[in-house]
Amino acid sequence: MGEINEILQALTQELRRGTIVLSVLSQLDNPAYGYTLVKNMEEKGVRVDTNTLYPLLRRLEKQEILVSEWETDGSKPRKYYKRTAFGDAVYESLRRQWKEMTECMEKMLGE
Amino acid sequence: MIERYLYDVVRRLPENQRKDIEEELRTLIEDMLEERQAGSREENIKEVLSELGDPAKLAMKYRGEEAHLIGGEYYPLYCQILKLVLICVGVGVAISTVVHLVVQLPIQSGVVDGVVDGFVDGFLSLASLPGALLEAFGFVTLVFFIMERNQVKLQKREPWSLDNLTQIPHKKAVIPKSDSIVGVLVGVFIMVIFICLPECIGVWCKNADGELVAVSIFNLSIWSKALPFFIISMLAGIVDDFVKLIIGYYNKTVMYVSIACSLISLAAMVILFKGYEIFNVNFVEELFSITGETFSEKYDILTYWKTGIAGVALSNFFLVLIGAMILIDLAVTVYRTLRYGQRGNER
Repeated sequence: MGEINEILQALTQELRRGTIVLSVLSQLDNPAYGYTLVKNMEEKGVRVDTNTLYPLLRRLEKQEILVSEWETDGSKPRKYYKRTAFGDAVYESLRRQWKEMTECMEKMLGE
Repeated sequence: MIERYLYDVVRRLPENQRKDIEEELRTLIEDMLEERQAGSREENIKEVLSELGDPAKLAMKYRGEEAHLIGGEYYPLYCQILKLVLICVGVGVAISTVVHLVVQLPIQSGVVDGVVDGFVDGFLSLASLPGALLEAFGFVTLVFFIMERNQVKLQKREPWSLDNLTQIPHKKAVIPKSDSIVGVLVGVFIMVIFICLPECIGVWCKNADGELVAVSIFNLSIWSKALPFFIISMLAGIVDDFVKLIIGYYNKTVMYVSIACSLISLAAMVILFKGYEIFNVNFVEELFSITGETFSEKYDILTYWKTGIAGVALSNFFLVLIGAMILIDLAVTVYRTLRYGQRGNER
């Protein structure tokens, strides 16, 4: 029985991994910093590991989908991320893809 | 403890990203700590850091795809080239060792000291083999590493089409790897023996003092002159087998190389056997003087040898034998290529 759990866990993780980028992009209409992002998403029922999210944000920045800015006004320096115009375009297309995909999946799974 | 954790992550990252990531993570850790009001700070720190997990893994996530030396796109080619280079270097060092021995060995002396020296030299040269292999390995890896870092495009690969899929060689056109490898090894072995120890190929007997000595059946006095032709012939055979090993099935390339190598080998053998008196004419006398026995009644062949005709007859016999072997091998190659190897060449 332990085996089935292991396999399930791996498969679920794989499924989730595919959705992380999209869910992160959806939350960055306005600038936000890493930890609030984790909390916000958690509130909406999407669990992301902090140690996955932070590197991911940097990678998206490198791909010029996000930009970041240090805010030093508060008590602690914080790095805020938000989507670029390019990121908006990417996000829109991805969103459309997702809609199509979920519709198809629904159809298949509902059979 | 936080600082130590941060250091452990950042030290695994590229210099120019360290400060930024460190700041970001420090704030994150503080945020996570603030959330945990209950418990001592000490306990909370431990909890937070455990949640962030292994610093090495975290750093790896930050590095992303850079965390490999040679990526998937290059890897198959890397393995292929590496294998070839290592084989070539190995064989190269072996051959250079042999050549080195030829130059060094006092061939005519036949003195045991010379042989021992030769062996010592040989082993010394062979000792450089691991180093040479490592060097080759490092060099190939370095080249691929640079290519990987700069994302060098290997070559404009034509988009694949059904027409230029690689042909499957006919079953009977496949050359077993073991055949070629044995061929190469036997060739090298014979070459080494003939170069280093020609005086030992012959009859071993005890002399008057009870020491074991060898009477070579070869004419050692012209050995150094005849040897180059022998080496050329063996090398041609080795090259032939080597090409077969690399290509792996009979095709036109293999056939042409085979024809060229066989002709060279044959020519060298003809010169060797017809141009030089390579057999020891004084064989029987030497044997006699050492053992003090006379064989003439017991061994007809030895009596025959004494007459001096034997050298020529032996030469002819071996020439025909070796020639036949080379030609049969060549015939097989040509036949298989023409009969089965064509498919591999179709466009």
